[in-house]
Amino acid sequence: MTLLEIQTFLQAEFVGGGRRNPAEVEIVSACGSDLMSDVLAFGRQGEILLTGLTNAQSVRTADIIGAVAVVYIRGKRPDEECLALAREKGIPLLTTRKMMYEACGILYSRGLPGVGDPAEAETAADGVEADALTRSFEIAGRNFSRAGSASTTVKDILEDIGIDPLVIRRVAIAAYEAEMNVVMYADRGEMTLSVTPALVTLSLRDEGQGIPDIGLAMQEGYSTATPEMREMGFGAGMGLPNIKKNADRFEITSEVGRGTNLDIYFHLGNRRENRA
Amino acid sequence: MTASVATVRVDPQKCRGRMKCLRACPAQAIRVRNGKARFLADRCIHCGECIPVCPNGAIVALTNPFGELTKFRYTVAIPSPALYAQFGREILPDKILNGITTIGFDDTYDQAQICGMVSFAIQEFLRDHQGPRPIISNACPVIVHLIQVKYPNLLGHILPLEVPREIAAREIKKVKARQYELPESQIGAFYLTPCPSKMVSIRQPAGQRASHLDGAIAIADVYGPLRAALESVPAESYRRSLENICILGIGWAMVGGICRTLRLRNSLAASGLPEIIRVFDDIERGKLNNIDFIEAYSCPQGCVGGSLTVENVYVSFNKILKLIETLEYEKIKACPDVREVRRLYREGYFSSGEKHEPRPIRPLDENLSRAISLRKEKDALCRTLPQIDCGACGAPTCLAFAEDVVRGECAVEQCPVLAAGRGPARSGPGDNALQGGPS
Repeated sequence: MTLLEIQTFLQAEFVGGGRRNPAEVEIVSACGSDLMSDVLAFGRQGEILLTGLTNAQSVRTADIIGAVAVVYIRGKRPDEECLALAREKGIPLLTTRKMMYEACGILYSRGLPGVGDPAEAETAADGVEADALTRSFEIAGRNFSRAGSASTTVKDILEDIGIDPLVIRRVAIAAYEAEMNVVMYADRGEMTLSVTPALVTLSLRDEGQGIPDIGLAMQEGYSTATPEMREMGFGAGMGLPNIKKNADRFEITSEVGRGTNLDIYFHLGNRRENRA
Repeated sequence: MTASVATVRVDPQKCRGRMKCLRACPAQAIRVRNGKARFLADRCIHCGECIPVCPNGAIVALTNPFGELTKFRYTVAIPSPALYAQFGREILPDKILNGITTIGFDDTYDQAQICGMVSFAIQEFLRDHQGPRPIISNACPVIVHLIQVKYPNLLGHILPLEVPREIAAREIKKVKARQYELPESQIGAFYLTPCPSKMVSIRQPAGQRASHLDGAIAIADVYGPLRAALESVPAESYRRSLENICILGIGWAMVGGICRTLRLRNSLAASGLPEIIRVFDDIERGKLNNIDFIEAYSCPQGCVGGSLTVENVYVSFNKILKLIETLEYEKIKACPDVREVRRLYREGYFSSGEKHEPRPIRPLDENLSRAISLRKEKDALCRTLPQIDCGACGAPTCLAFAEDVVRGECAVEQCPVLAAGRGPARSGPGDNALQGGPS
């Protein structure tokens, strides 16, 4: 179903955000919820998000799960921050006068499916918190002999669960680069893996020197590696750019003298395709 | 679970459940249930590490017995170059090949010659190769299985040329069928193998093609008769025998032999599964993109270290190494004509009909949500276990036991340490046992 069709069925109006030709935007499924944690757990790539939540959180969530557009129900309009973020992310925002129940019903009756079959929904119904698997790994700074062990365990866990090997490879590369950054530049750090049926997340928090200029650090080839690190095969200045390249979404914040935080997201997309 | 896989079988009469195989298995593919060792077929990578460690000799390689030779009108032995390393330094391949024809085979074919051709073909392939790097040698079937099971992303790195043993069997059958006017099906080609893993490619070809080999006989099984026979084989001139050795070919018996004799500059040679796993992790992480070719063998030091060989691995490795050094020093190169190899290469002589599919270990559940909650259950259960990986429950580690429990394959009461009333010894899931090993 195209965004133009959805717009027609819901008598919806474009209110801002990413400008794209609605006839060319293909939507594969829909998810309706005001609870963004539910959307994070069950949403999937290529869907449209219907919600009554009008703050920037709605767009941030849509971006993380890879939703193509957001429809606000009951004539609600997004706030300024939300519009700005949607423009930046290229996500079109629409509003319809229909209530949530009706809006969802109309799209469903027109053949736009939900996020999963009833059996899957049932298993998932235990709740978001219960559904996510999280594991944290301590990373010791400057300890090269154990370096890479957390990434290896991350890979083992994802294999155990049966994640698509192509996604595993991207996660494994990003996890390894991020782990090595902590080993090389920080005193200590922690990597947390979180897995839901829709999303794999890696969060890194480290205590160390921090990054003075993130823009510069994100440039390919820029490196502050010491000769010793280079001898071990690191420091080509590809670490952070490589993480970004492999991730579906990547966030970095850093404070000089305190440490660096990374949040790295990977969509699991359509679950059934994953299995193929 | 099963008592046999394509390469090995547990003899239930001899198995006493002594757990040696359980601890030796790098793929965590063995469980001891009801006092007997069993295999998890989807995890087995056919390395054969379980065979020599069994104190009761209960794990048997499923190679072919000598008796199967009688099924054919004409039989040819194709020895792995590792056979040449099993005898003293003064005994050269010529003499060994002559000896083979006196112990029950009608003829023999020096596979080292084909190995040498394939070495040149590798050189040809690497020169034009534009795809992913490094290319990984496919000579060792265990390495191919390891990639199928644990590194599906590296399948595109496997050398897409036919392995020498298959080419040798294919060609010798053609020649002998013509010479003796027999159908090819009446000619039995038997590989003299240093390890059981070659049985898999003969019994259940990984790809769509059937093997040209009719069986594999363990080097350990021919060693006795061959050794006796060699005493009555007349000695040829040492120098002339040296001149018949293809230096490229005998390099296939040991790790690093292909790279050394081809003088590949951007290459790496690795042997032994723990080391291979480190190398493959680095390839996956993109750290070895600057390498062209990797020679990788599951057995330490390469095929000379196979579990079905006889001689001490350091002695046999050294024999091949000294032979290569001698040939280099004497500037003897009894190698195939490189121009002829190039012509054959273009004609598809070395193309492999084999396509390697991924063979991932069965996930905890086909449904992602359920798999995630099972993994959480497994971690939680593991935290309550003693974390000493004693193996007494019949699983190699506490984490593997926890997995067996959540898969419903055994009950948590089977942990004898818990049953004896000892609480958890440490906190935190015991993933350490997995690190660096296929899980």
